Amino acid sequence: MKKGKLTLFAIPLLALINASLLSACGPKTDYTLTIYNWEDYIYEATDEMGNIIQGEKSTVQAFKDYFEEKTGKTITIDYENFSTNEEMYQQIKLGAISPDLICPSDYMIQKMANEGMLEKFSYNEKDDKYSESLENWENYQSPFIHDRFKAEKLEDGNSFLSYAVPYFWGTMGFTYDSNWFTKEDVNSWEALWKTSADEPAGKKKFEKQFSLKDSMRDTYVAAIFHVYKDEIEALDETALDYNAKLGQIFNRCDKETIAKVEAALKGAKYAVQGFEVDEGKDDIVRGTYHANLAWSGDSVYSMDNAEQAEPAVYLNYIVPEEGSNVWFDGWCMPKGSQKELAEEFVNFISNPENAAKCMESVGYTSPVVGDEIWDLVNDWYAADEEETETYEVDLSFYFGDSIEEDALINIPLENEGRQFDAQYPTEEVLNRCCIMKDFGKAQADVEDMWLRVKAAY
Amino acid sequence: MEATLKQKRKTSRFNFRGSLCMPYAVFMTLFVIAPLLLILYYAFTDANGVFTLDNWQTVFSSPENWKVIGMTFVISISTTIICILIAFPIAKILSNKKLNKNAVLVYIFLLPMWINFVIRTIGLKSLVDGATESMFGYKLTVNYPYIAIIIGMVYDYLPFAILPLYNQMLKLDKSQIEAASDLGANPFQVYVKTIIPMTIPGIVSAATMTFMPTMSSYVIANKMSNNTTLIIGNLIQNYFGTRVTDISNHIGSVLSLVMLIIIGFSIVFEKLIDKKGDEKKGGIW
Repeated sequence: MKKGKLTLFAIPLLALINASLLSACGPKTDYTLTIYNWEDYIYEATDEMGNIIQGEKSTVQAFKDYFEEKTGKTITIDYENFSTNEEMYQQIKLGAISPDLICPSDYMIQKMANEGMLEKFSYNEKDDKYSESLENWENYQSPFIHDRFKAEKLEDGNSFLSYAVPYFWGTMGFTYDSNWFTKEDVNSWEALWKTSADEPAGKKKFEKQFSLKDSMRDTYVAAIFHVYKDEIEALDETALDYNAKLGQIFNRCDKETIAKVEAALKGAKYAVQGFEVDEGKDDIVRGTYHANLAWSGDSVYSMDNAEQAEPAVYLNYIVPEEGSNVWFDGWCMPKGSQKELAEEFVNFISNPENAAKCMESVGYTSPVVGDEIWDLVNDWYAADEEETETYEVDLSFYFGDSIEEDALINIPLENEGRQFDAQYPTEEVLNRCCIMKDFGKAQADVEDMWLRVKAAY
Repeated sequence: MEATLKQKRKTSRFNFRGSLCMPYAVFMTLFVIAPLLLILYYAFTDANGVFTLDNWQTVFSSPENWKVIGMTFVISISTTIICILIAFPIAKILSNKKLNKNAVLVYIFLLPMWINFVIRTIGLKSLVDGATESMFGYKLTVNYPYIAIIIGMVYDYLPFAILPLYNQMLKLDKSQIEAASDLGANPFQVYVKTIIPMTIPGIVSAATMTFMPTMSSYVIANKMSNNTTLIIGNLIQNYFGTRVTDISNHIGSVLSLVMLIIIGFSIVFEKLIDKKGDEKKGGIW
């Protein structure tokens, strides 16, 4: 009898599941490509308010049309979102999702590649050449990005380039209110360790005016530059291997360093108001605090919003003089992905025309270069011809020979230290920015340290 | 003929009303029992699935965890006590039928619950910060995060305390109260000797209704302290959400169990007091 009851319910239930599975597939296509990306990280043919623009094609739709035209086959794109690297990693590790393309950050690319979770792209390490399936990326990659990725070696001796095609990149620094702080105030990480003794009598400028990231990786960086201040100052900035040497200090995670970082973070209470991950970019506009440890893309978002606020607030962005982090998110193929389809998509999105659209809607800097990107940058930032007070920036190290003219751009002087500088730091700034490495075996120790810091706050 | 009828009766012994429980049973098994078993499994195994008690040792050998669990306990208990102290007079007033015709006033107290609590908490934060900044020159959530957390929790969970107390107050035995004052008890004595003893079941369920969610919630704590404090909910979230070591899910499971055990005790406690309350109902100490 019991069995009878169960089947009685099992049949409609199964039928339901079946129906929903069938309907989820929709009209059958020849291929399905699963992409697992950050939220709001691609051109979706929507305007700033999130409304769909009529007659515009999102990147995904444009790729479908392009693919069908090129191959005569139909394709479905299954587009899924994640919100942290760790979440994405767990989901793939647990087998909850098996995407063809993912877009993790540098340290996670390293971790996954070292754990053998990633498929290689059609890239030849020896000749430093991509195969034809990635010709757009081969032709339109920024030389700066290429060199940085080439220099990052993984455990198997290959470089980052074998496993990842960069999608967006940026730096980390302070977004600050230029009416409250001067550039000199926030030009050093030491600002976070100011105490009441540093303040002039009767004036409290630094007290509780900073916010840090509630993500251990980023706040760790700030502490490293404080802890090894002297050692970093002693390095020769003009040396060719300056960045590599700085990177070694930057990525230290031995027991002694962790203990020092812990003490430093516990001691940063005077200037720090709190931790945040997402709210900060809005809170700085509202004036909840006047300096926010921020990623360059978020900083551009804050600066744009603050300008339009009533009354307008003028925010600036600065990468502290000691150095900072330069981060990358890159397309990777997890083991078992449909390599050809995935490369087709990566190649499509690395076309400057498509990259410019994504860059325009996402707001981060694309590692793709070319006329379309250069035009976009000029359109956004270049000074009008009548303007006399300008400064010239040489971006040839970044744009290489991808554009016909010289990569020189004139920026209005009043915009110094603002959106343009956040999106396109100079070669000199980038020379003191390092790529994060996976903590490896020390991961658990650092996480424990972070909990102790938070518990002590 | 008779035989076929009998057979028919036998086959049609399908219990329709009983079968209505099936969706609930399926739901419970899939979303309550199965996850609980998983947590149990994780809590007592290591990364390779071998039985171990190491996870428990790791959790309890760290002084930070003790501090966090203790702090959560202090916050929850204070929130519960404050909620009941505020809710008791409110419930008493609301239970006055003359004042609260059609129970409209009760709805006014429940209205805020129609808005998502995260939004309410963010609003409260701005309000509290703005008020303390203009009065004392500092932000409460920055300088006194623990006080801010308790304020936030009291604000969010007050309706959970008002409702059970209000229901209990509606059932108060009026004649007993009248008798007490007739026999010479002053208003204070009337409260202490009749009203409070009669509302004990309400107080106890109000206490559990506020204690349980405050133990497990961490969003309010995050918002009201600018992410500078840790309570047990954060710890669990940290182990499941942001850590990627082999063992993190196992440690997180132990912490979840610890939280469940504390909440479980509070329910047992409620039942114990409730029983006593039943015996004493209407009695005079």
